[in-house]
Amino acid sequence: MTIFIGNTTFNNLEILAGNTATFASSGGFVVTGSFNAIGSSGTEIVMSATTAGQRALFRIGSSQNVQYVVATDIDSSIGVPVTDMAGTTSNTINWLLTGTAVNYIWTGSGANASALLSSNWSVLATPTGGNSVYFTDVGTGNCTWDILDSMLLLTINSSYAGTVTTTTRMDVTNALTVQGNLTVGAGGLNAASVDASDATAKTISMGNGTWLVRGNVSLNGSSLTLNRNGSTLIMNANGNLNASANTLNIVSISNGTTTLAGNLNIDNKLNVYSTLILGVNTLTITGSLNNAGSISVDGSMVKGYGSSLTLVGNTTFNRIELVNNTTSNWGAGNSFVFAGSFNALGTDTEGVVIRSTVSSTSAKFLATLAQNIGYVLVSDNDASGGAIMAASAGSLTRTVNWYLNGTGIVVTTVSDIFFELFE
Amino acid sequence: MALIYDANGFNITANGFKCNGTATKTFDAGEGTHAISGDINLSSTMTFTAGTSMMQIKGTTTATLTSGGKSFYNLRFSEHSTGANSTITVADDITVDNDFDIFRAYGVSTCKATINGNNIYIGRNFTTSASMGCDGTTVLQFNGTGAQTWTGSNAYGNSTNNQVGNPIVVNKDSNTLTFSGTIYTKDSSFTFTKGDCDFGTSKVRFAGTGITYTAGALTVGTSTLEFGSTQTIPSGFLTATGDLYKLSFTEIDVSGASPTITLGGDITVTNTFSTARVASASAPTLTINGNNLYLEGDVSLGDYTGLAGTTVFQITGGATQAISQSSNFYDFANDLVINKSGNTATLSGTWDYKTGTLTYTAGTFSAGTSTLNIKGSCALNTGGGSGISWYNITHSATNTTTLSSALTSTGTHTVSAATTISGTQDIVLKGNFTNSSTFNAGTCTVKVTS
Repeated sequence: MTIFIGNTTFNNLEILAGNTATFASSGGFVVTGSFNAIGSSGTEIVMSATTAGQRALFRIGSSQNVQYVVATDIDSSIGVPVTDMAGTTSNTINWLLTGTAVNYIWTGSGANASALLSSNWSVLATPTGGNSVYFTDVGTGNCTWDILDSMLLLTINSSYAGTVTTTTRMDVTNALTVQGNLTVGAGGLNAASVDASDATAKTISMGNGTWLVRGNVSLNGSSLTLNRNGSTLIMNANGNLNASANTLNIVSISNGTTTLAGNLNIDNKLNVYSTLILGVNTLTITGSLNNAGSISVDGSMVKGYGSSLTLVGNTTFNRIELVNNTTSNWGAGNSFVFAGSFNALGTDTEGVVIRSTVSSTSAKFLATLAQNIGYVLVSDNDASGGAIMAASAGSLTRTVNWYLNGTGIVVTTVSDIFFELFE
Repeated sequence: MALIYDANGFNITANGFKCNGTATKTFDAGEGTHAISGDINLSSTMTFTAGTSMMQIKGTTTATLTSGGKSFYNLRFSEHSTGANSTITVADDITVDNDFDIFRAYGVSTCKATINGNNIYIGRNFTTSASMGCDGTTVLQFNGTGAQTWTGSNAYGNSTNNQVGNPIVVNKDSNTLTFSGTIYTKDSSFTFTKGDCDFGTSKVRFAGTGITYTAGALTVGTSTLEFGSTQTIPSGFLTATGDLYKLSFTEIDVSGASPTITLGGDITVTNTFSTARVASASAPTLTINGNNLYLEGDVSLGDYTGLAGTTVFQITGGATQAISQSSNFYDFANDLVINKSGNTATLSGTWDYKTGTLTYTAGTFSAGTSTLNIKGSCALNTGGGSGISWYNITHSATNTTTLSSALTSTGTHTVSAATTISGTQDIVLKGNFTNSSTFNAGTCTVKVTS
């Protein structure tokens, strides 16, 4: 067993199979060259800290070959993740268990930024399917991602100062970690997960293509500038979605269960084909909600905005708020349950329109008495299954179980409504 | 008028012995011991029969010895009763047919006789008593035709009063001069003009201005030869001796000057090699220049601030060896080669290595639980996996350590001073690594193994 004491920077560090290396919990250890720890089944390598539970800082650099390492209390949060092909971890940071793969470190700094150019990589070969790719401070230049193969892992590390721009679909079998700048082209991307949650300042342009993700999506970094462009995010398996403070274009919950891990803003379309669990979060929609699956609302809030908000499909909401100046179109013949509260409070200059997607074919509301409704123009709505819908002001056209407190003006078109209400 | 003094059956004790003037004089010294506490002055015209007598200058601080061309049988210079040093002027060349000795009686304080002028030709044995030495300009010449012995004593250590500082000449036409006991020379020259010498079991220190060798077979036996002042060991001397048995470099200078010993040729030491320092001397750096020092026995370095120079130290031979530095030895800075043909060389304690190149070539070298203490910029080629596995390695002074093979430690590799590693080699850790300073790994690989 070897015990390392004192902050030390190594060039290359190699731990041979079957050996134990213990690093001072109070120390910092940096490997600027290669880190090799190649154990095997039965002759694993043990890496740990001198004090159980207190991690040793262990930063690696440009290249690594790590296999069968039992790592405990090692913090590799600074630098390239340690990717152990077949080990175990306990109380580690930035250690990944990857299976068999070769790690490619981007070294490109020249004019030819193509990822297909072998000289742009640490191993002087173009990454092929099943391998792991890292962008770090080793390569200072931008990268044009033009590889078709699916990488095992792809990490844009916080130390990477360039921008990765895709011209093909970026395919990642496991995690796509984005701590630096990423511009996704029309080809979109395909990954098991997307993690842009770290605090590094970065810009992600989602492009106009499709992001097909089979797990967690974290687009919530505190210094993340997210350009949603015309993108579509497809949640294609169970996973958490956290895009707090950012707005997405189109989100489709296609397969499995998607659980919101933060508030979600959508300015175009939310399609629910499988299951969406809102939790206690707020879903803000300025486009449309197409619910062909199920939405678990729990303690959530749904806010509707915009001149053409469309909500289709039988849906139960907890609390819903249609803010002033919103024109909402509700699926003709669909039932909408408001288990918590229903708020649709316009003003005398910016009312709220509630109407069916098909004129003269009602949408159905089932509300409770927890409601705050005013300055609404309601048409083709049947609220007979729930509490009386009482509006303080507005107009009602072909409605059932709606009650108007003030003087109503019956109109038939939206343009007429505002003309006649406020002029 | 003729004066005849027949001393047969008598010992003469007198304050002076003077036979000159114009009268015909005859002195038959007989078999007695004639102690003169003043001058001895024999006339060239007198008749002197030495017999088997001993002429002795004793109990005076100054005396002049004039032989008048007469030969003594035995000659002794004795101590002053108070232990005061004495000065004896040799007015003409003295021939001692039998023994010459420097003598101090038991109970008298240590002292020396300063003997100046001309030559004393010694026909048989020369003896110095314990703690009475001599110096001066008189040349002591061994020129007897029969076997001779030079016997020294080291009863009182390295005192100046226990050394022979007069020039020495071996100039024998036949037979052998045998060295016996502990003989410390100092300050002057040692000349092998001709004649065979056998160092036997003695310990002989050459600490004067150097050795001049012309001829004579030199047999080292199981002796210890010491060199203790700036000098060149001539190639002819080394050729004549062949392999040395025990060799020591011993600092005797109390001034703090750093001596330089130049090897006129390669030296092979079949038994112990050591460095030492007389008690009163300072602890300077000893510079050893030229050729190779092949060490086949134990190596024990002590008492010097350090060793430096161009001589390559080679741990070699097929015997079991113990290698060590004492705690008061610092800064080994010569090249060092491990090249053994058999058995094991074992290092103990701490081996301070300052500069130079340390090379493993062949053989078994055991580090035991020792420490290789790197104290300066040095080059290490310790053989990688098949070479030396050090126990502890410490970088205790600012250094650049250049590696041309793997550097392996089984104990603790410690960096306690700014350290730069040069060379694309492995630092193999079979034990721990502790860094309390700055470690610049260069292009090396730190490898953890067992």
